[in-house]
Amino acid sequence: MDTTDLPEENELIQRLINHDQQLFVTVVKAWHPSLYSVAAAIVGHSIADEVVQEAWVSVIKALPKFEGRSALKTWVTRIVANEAKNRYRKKSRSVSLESVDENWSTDSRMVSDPRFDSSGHWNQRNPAWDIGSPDELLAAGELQDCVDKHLTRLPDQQKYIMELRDSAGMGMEEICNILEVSSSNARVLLHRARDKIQQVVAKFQRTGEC
Amino acid sequence: MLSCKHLVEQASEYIDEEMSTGKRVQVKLHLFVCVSCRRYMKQLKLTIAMLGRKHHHQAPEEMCHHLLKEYQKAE
Ligand SMILES: [Zn+2]
Repeated sequence: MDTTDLPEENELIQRLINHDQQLFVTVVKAWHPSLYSVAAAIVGHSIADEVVQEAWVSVIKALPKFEGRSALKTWVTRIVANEAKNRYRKKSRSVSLESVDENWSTDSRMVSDPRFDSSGHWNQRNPAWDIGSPDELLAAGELQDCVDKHLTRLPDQQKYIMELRDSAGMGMEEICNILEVSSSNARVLLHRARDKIQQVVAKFQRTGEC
Repeated sequence: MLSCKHLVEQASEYIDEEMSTGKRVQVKLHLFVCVSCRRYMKQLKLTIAMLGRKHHHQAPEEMCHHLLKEYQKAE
C-alpha cells in the first residue's frame, strides 16, 4: 500500500486529529488510488470518486473518536467499503441475484485449455518475451491499449479482485471481507484474471496483434 | 510429477507465497526441468508488476478542495 512519505502511524493520527490541513490533503491524495480501487470494485468506476469523497466526510466526523484498534488506513478503507456497499444495495435492487452468482461462481473453469495437450503439457514451447521489465511493458503504447481493452472485458469480480490485490495491494483476507467472497473463490478468480492478462501480453509479443 | 497445466493453475498461489511447503517443492522441481513453465512464471510475475503500476487513479482536485473545506469545518 501507499506509504509515500507519510509520518508514522501515531504521529499521523495525532496530527490529523489536530487539524493538520496540509497533511490531510497529502493523505487524501496518497491513499486515493487504493481507496478508489475498493470503491470501484464494489460500485463500478462511474461513482467511485463520489463514494470515496462521501466516505472521507464520514471519516472526518469520526476521526476524533478513532480508537486505533486497526491501522488508520484499514479503518478508512473499511468506511469506503461500507459506503460503497450501501450505494450498491440501493443501486442494484434491479440486478438479479442469478447474474451476480454466475459471476462469482468458479465452476465455469475451463476444462480444456488450448495451451495444453490432454496430458497437461504445453502444446508448443512457451516463447520468451522480448520485454523484460514492467516499465518497458508500460511504455509500449499499443500493448497497453490492448491490455486495457481486455481488462474492461474481464468479468467484474475477476477485475475487482485483481484491482484490489495487484493495484491497491490489499491482503486476500481483507479483499474477501470487503467483497464477501470465500478465499478459495477469490484465489481462483484472481489467478484467472492475471492469467488472462498474461495471455494477452504473450499473444501481443508473439504476433504484434491484440 | 506435476503437469504444466497444473503448475500454471497454481502459479498465483506460488507467487503470492500462499502454498504449502510440499507443494512449493513440487513446483520448484518442475520449474527446474521445464523451460516453458519457467518462462510462464517469469511472465506472470512481470504481468502482475505491470498491473501494479497501471491505472493509478489520482484524487480529483475538486474532491481535495471539497474535503479540505469539510475538514476545516470540523475544526
Ligand atoms: Zn512445465
